[in-house]
Amino acid sequence: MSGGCDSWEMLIERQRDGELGRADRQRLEQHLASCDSCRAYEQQLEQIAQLALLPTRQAVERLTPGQLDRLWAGIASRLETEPTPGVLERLATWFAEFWGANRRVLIAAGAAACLTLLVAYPLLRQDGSVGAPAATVASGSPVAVEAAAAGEVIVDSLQSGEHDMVLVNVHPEDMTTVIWLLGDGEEPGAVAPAAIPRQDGADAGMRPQPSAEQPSVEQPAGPSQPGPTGQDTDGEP
Amino acid sequence: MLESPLVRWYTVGVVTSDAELVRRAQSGDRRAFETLVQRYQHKAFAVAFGILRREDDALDVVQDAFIKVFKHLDGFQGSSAFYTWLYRIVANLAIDQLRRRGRAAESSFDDAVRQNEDLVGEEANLLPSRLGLNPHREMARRELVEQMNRALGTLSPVHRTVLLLREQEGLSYEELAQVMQCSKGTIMSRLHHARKNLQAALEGYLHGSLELD
Repeated sequence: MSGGCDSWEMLIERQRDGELGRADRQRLEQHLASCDSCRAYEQQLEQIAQLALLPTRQAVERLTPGQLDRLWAGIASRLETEPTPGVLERLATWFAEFWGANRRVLIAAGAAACLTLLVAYPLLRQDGSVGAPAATVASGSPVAVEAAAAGEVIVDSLQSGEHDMVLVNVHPEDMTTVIWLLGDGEEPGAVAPAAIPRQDGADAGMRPQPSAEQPSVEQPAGPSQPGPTGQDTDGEP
Repeated sequence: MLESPLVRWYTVGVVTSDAELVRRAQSGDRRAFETLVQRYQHKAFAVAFGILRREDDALDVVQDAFIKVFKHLDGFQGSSAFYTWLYRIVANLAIDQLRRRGRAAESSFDDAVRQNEDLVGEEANLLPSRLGLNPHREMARRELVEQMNRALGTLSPVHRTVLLLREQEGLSYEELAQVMQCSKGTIMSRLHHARKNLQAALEGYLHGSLELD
């Protein structure tokens, strides 16, 4: 078989196994008409099959009626004496059969469910339908704790440059945004946050910040709000 | 008694389907289960022997497999064919037995090959004189079978199983995927791997026509 024909081997095998579609079959037939080495491989597949089956065929032919009688006698005897399997064992067998028969459908359904969850969950969070976890919000931020207790906090997070940014919307009706900039390994609240009022509800504070130690703050479009530390965080923290 | 074509057609036509036998066995008909055993005992043995290469071990696995089938028949819903379910149980039990043996499996396989070679040898010694065949041809045939056994021994049990189920039982890729609980792509890959390995191991024997019978 020449190197250029390697890609045809799988097609030849699928053709032999009756698993080749019409278009591929026509393509293969055209190739076989002009390729001696692929025709040789096709013949070799048949010979390999004959040889591979030879020991098994011989063993099956050697089986005697006496052996088969003893086989059934052994089965019948054990059926009388052995206990029936428990619920868990039966359930495992049922699931193995169900999985074996519906594997493709189950995998497709699982993938679709994961994809739906992946898309829907952030959307729900933006709508406030799904509340932020209190533990995340409450770490070191009195305002966040207070707001979380009031059920008015929406938390989002994202990666920006070399900083982790946590974006917290507090009191959405006031359009206030608080940004935590986190250094490596730091927890939310470890660095003084900057609070800015949001101008139009857009992601005013979601642009990359220049430094974790000295986070810059977007120019406020409305009255400044006290930050989580109780300071007026309009400008430098 | 002579059998008319009509009678023959009728006899063939009333062969009970696997699904019906399974249904009857599920409702406690032991006779129906015995019919299933008789129908599939050779095929189950072939699958087990293809993996284990020892007749006694293969018969033990077949017995265990049918016991397991009977005990779990209630959970069989018929979403797959009975034989794919049976083959999966046989293959899993046989592969488990090989794995339990661990390294012993390798020597066991060698023993099995030797046992098989002895049997082939007996045939080779007997057949030419009794049937008037060419002794050289029989020697060549014996050598070929020995080489085949060695080549099969180089394959993993999983690859041997896939190849055997495809070539002997004629299972489709989809059915093979159900038996081996993997994707069709994996089945194609395993079949290709098995065939290429055998092709390499049998290089020099695969040219010209084989006369195995």
